[in-house]
Amino acid sequence: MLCQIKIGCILFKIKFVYIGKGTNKVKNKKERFLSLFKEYESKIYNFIYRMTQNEADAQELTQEVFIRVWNGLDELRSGSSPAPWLYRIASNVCLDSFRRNKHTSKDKPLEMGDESLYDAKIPLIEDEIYKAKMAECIKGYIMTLPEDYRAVILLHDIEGFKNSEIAPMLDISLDAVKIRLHRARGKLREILSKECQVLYDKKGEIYCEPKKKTN
Amino acid sequence: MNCKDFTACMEGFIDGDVEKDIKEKCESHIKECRSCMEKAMNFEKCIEFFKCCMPDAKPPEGMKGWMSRFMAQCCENEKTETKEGKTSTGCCN
Repeated sequence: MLCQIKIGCILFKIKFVYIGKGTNKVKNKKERFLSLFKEYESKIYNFIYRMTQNEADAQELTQEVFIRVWNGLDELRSGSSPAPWLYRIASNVCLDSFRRNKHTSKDKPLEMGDESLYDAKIPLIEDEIYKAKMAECIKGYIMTLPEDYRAVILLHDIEGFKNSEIAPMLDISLDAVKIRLHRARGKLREILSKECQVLYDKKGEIYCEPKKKTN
Repeated sequence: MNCKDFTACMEGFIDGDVEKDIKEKCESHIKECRSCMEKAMNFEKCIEFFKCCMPDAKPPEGMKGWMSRFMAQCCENEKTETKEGKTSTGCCN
């Protein structure tokens, strides 16, 4: 009898501890999720906005990212950096959306860019009046890149990920990342050197303005 | 390392994505070669320029409201699923 009571107590304790752990796990999930949202909402939104150049699309796709984050949060090991995982989801959401909506760029695979921009002897000019227009210009040029190249250049040059981190995010090889990055940068340089007059201001910062069209 | 070799690995060198010995060879080359030094600096400036043209925007206010609704929806789903004997999703905690 005493033995049965003891076994009963032990089973009760095990069940209690199990329920307790389950509740903590569940509670942790919500806390982890809200903490990720707080920290990464702006970063993910901006990444997607740069990919799409459209506020409504960026908002909708950011929400889709966080729905996937909630559904897959158990995949994220505690202690590991969430950024590569989140950007992997964000990249997939963007590229899936482009495929769904056939927002595909009609560009052919990118060829090597013109290296001449790096060699150019450029005069120093102090006028900064064109900076806002220049930003608009560059955004337009980014959109001429095929989406998978755009993703690589944004993840590397804007978000600051290493090539070795980008490869698993996009499910491509390290060499493919390097090639896409090189070609995307080359393509941008090519457009810049064709469409813009590239200048330096007094501080040595690079800027550009549209080339005057000749009839 | 000559100028042609440097040009071939300049991008990896600037990205910090080359082996240690290549990195050292690149560093010693640009100390001696003004032309390659300028080329590397221009390359870095192009990347900086690109970053400057992509400033961060503030996410729309609607995002916060959406998150509250999403959590509330999860909570509703959880209540329904708990009644059906499924495991809690954690939204109501």
